[in-house]
Amino acid sequence: MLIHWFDGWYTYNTSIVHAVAPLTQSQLLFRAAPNLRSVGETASHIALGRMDWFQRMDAPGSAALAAQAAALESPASIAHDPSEIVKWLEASWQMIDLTLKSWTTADLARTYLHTYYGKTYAISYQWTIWRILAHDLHHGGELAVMLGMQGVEIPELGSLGGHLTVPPQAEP
Amino acid sequence: MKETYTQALIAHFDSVFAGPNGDYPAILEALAGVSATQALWKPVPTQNSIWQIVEHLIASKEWQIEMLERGQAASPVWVDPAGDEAAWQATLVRLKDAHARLKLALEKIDEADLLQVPVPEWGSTLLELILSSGSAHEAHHGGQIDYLKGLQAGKKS
Repeated sequence: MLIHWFDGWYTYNTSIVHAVAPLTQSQLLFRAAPNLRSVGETASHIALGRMDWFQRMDAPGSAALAAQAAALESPASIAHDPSEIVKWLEASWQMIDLTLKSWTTADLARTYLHTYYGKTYAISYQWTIWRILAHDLHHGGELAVMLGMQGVEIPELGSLGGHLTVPPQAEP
Repeated sequence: MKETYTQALIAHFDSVFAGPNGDYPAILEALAGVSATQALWKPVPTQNSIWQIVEHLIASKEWQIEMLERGQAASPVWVDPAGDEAAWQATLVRLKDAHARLKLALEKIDEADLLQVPVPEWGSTLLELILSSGSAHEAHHGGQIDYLKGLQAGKKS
């Protein structure tokens, strides 16, 4: 199963969920500059951004979840509601979890065609999964700055950098 | 097997460090055009500056090199740097040099060693340590560099 090789992604997602869940509406609407996403927009972008790419791989559960997401007015429409953002973070994580538990390392070499700016690429599943993981990390880092600027305590996403995987204790 | 592990690791490291990655920038892309003044700026005193993050990335790369070459290393320590444009540019040179040396260390590693547990108390293989402390760690901080840069651009307009 691929899930072993992506150990740590689940805990990073959990650190984002724990950071977002207790936020107030004003904390979610915080936008440090007009040209940048708000806290809520960034968190919902993490959740909803996962679906497009997983659907391109026809990952388990991705089509149904993408259909639900398509019914949203816009990603920004949930950006003020912590419970909605958490719901989509957890739902999209379930899709990732199911995928990583269903596929093996042999699936990483599979490809699909994707056209970008007039050029068609054979995109590997390995490239796609890493891209979305890195996308989570990139925007998770942004969230840490935005929440830190507001004085919100985020030990998991902040000082631990999302490193929530605790090694097993040594036997006495 | 050898090529699979090391090539995948180096590809991930280069992807996050140099890009391109589509709609989010790599470390060097985010740092392009950043001056010493911008690098030292903090949105609030309790937050890290770009320069601090870059020093942290250098220290993390040095940590990974030590782990690959000796199987042990002292934990990276956050520092609060100061300096002029020449010092900042020298820092960027050290960052690129550390990345190049890390790739060399990865190329030299015996793949069997990647599956060893270098520090029994941590319970993680060297491969797992490098995966979490390398490209994944860098992507997290890359987002912060990009955000701090964007924040300053927004304040100017």
